[in-house]
Amino acid sequence: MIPDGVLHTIPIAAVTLALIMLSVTRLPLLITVYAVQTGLLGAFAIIRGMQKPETALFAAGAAVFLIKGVFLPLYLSRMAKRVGCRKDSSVLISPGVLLLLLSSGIAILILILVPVMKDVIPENTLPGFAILLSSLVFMITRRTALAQVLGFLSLENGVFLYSISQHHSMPLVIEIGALLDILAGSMVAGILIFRIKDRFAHVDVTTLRELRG
Amino acid sequence: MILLEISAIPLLLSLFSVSVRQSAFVTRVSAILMYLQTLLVSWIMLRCWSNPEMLNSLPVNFRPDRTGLIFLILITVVVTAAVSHAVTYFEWEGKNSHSPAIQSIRRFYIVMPLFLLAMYAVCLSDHLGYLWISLEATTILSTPLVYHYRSSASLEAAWKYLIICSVGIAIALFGVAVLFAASQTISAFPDGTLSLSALSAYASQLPPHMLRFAFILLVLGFATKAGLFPLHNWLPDAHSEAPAPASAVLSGGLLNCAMLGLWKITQLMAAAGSADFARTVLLILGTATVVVGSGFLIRQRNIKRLLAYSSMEHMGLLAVTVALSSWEGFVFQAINHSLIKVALFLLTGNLLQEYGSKRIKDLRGLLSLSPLHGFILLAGFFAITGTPPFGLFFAEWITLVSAMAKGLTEVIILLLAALSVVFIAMSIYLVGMIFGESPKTLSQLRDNSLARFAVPLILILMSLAFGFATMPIALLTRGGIL
Repeated sequence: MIPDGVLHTIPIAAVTLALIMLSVTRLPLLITVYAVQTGLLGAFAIIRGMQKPETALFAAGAAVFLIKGVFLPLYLSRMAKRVGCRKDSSVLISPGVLLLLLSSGIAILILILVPVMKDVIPENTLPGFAILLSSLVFMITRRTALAQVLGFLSLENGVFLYSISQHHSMPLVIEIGALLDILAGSMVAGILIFRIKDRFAHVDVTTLRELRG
Repeated sequence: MILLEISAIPLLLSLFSVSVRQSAFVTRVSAILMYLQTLLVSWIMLRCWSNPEMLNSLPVNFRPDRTGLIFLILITVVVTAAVSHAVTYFEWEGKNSHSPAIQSIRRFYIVMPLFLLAMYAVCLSDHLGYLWISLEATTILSTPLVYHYRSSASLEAAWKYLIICSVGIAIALFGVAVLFAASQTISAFPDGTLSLSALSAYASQLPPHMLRFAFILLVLGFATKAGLFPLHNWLPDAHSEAPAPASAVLSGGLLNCAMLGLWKITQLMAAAGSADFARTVLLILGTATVVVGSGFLIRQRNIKRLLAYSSMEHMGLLAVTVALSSWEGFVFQAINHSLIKVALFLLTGNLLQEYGSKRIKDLRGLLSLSPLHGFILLAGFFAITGTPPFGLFFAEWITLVSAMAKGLTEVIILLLAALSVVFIAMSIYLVGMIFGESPKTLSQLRDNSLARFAVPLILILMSLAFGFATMPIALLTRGGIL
């Protein structure tokens, strides 16, 4: 069996990977980082499900591992090839600076805010919330439609991580339902990305500014 | 059994639409089936209303409360109105425009019934998890409706809509998860629960800090979906780029679903004794939305965006009624806004087709071209700005009276100022549209038959009737003041 110490490093590894996503601009690498992050979280749920033992957690972990960790990354990288998108530069700030800013931000959050607001933000909320925040920043600062989808998926990972680190994870029906929604949403987004590529010859969504005011 | 009864027709319709080749056929069949559906749903829901034991035959997590029952009927009426107007809308397009692609129409009719079912699920859910899943499903299913016209503007709108609403809703999922974690402290549910009635019953046992944290996240999510400031960016784009029948459903149906979610979690907060916290959050959001929405109304050049910002303003008002926990205000406002906004979206859909432009400047002189169109538009304008005796006036009256009862003078002043701004801004645009001189290129409307304006007319009359029916309730409302 896997010792608890190793198991506890997984959420931290997932947060680190979410932060690393901020500094990666090559799209294939970005998809890999996302896939590893999701795979880790899926494995985390599977292991916890076996240790407890809780079948629902195990099944949810397996479903996330397969759909979000294997299928969607493959789908996205195929799409990236087809629309010929290899690089995603960041708007506003350079990715390196952003990584530095956000990781220090999260460090400050952990060091200062948490002791003060122990009742408001329970400690086991943090890894999930950190992933949620860094994914939001990721989505705001990226240009291509593909990166936005990746940011959205990583954001959902934050929610999943929070849910599985609780005493009881959410009912399996809800986890699976949410997963299917995410899957369907990503597929629809995929179709729209092809259309955007067809019409504008690029997938930089920050240049879509016809509708204003 | 009830679930099967209300979902049979939409499922059938969606399946049937997969194989159609003739647009005239599918539009008419859907309209007829949707009329049947309205009768069926109203009959079942009214029976459930008078005899709540009937609801016990439903699965435990899908037992709607009274608000849910009303919203189910309302959403069915909205979709029926949109689908029956769509007959003439798509027919006009087929006759007069060069691209009457059957694929688009087929897609519209495959997606619309499924979209309706997802909205039903939102109204039926007594379980936050299912509510979340169905709300996200509504986003995914309505994206194809926004991207109906395959233009670059509609592509941009659909993309923004999908991404912004999905992210908002993802934040709400975090709130659901936090609430589920909080529910594990209830002694009766050591494994946790998301059932809203169970949570309300044991609400006092929920840890208040976690509950508030969950509430903020849920409000962020639902407010995105309802188009409340500052998460409203997608709303005017999506509502203005979709075809008129779809805009009508997005505005009159979908926004209500998000508001229903907001209503339910606010009631939960009240049961947990955190009503003041919830009220403060929602009052700020709601009032800011009304003020910002009315500001955007002033400098609008596009008629559909004008209507979209008017929807945003009404969602702000609805958020205020939720904050005040004024059930009558909430339900009356939602019903009347839906009826009139659907009428206006459908009516302006006609104008956009005839004039070939969305710019308010180009849409002039309706009264001389078609007196009836002009007259209905004028009635719709009076109805949407809350002029008596239309229903919205009494809904807004109830809201303001209950705000007065709670001593929220500053909110009342802000709301009244914003509502007057809306009235003035809209009347300036409307005077040009109705009484101005019609463009030289257009001597008459190409289709001025009864079918073109029957649905909007009926909806506005319904709102008028509703106004008369609710007048006694509104005028008797004292909300605690003498």
